Amino acid sequence: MSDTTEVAELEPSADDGGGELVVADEGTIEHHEAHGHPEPRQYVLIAVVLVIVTAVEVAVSYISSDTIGPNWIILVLASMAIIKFALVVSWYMHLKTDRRILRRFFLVGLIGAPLLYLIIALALRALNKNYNEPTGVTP
Amino acid sequence: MSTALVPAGQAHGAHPPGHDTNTGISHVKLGIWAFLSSECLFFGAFISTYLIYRGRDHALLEQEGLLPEKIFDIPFTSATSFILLMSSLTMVLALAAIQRDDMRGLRIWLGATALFGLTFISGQVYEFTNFYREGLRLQTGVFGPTFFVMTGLHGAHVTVGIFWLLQLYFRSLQGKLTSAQSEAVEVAGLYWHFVDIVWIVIFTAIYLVPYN
Repeated sequence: MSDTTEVAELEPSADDGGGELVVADEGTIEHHEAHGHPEPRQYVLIAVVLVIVTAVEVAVSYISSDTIGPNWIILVLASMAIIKFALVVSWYMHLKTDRRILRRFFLVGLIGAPLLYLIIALALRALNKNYNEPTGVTP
Repeated sequence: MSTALVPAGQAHGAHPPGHDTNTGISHVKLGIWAFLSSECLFFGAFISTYLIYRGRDHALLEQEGLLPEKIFDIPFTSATSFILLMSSLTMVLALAAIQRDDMRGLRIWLGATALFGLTFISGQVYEFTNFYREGLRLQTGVFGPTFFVMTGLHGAHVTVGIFWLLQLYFRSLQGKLTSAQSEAVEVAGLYWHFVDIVWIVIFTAIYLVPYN
């Protein structure tokens, strides 16, 4: 027995008065329920958070690397950039509430970019024995 | 998997009637997300190149007095970054305005976003001019090409975004942009926010992280 549910309501076509049916799976329908954009007040609150994180980020960049070590500075800066990135993508680009398929589309590129970085870095190190030597110094 | 035969346009009711779709998501919206995904790889390649070669020409830059920490004006770039960040807020407020049929609000926020974008680009031109006067060229070590190409391409994207926003602004002025076409503003907004998140990464990776 088929588990297909048929809802046969027709939508009039603009040209011939006929109808058109599309097949939608449960996942697609589910996404519509979660498609509400935030209120302007929430957008402003996100902007305030973004400004605060940016201010902290700039302040951290002024800390001497002798104080806490350059790796810690990089870690803190990268974490704050990720927070800002996630806030803009989730709230302003509505990926938090929009359809899952769009999130997946974007994630392909987002994961692909660091992966590309990793592959290039590993390939360069493997191919070039002098990779770590400084370049371009004129006598 | 359970499937349902439902009317086109109603099964995916989140997009207004008149938007082409055979997937449940408007083609335009799906297209812009696919484009943005490819743009992640595009900018990822440039950012990767910069990070891989970062610091390798430190001795050359030191010799020529062009170390990034010496020539960068962090307070100035922080101010332009702040302006670009705020343009994301005005952009999303423009979308909220058209969705509630507030066309005046739409024009105000679109205009503000374009103005912020223009301010950011002006800041970048000023910064590039200063660096050039200091002696930093496209062919200076590996820092010169990686810095100018990456930030220059980002600036080109911002410029395209400004033209896009102005086009929407004038369409709205002529009454050719209504709340039924809010998706046009949403798609432009997605592009604009993407340009903003790319700058979030560039600003941290290039300007804030110590070069050596």
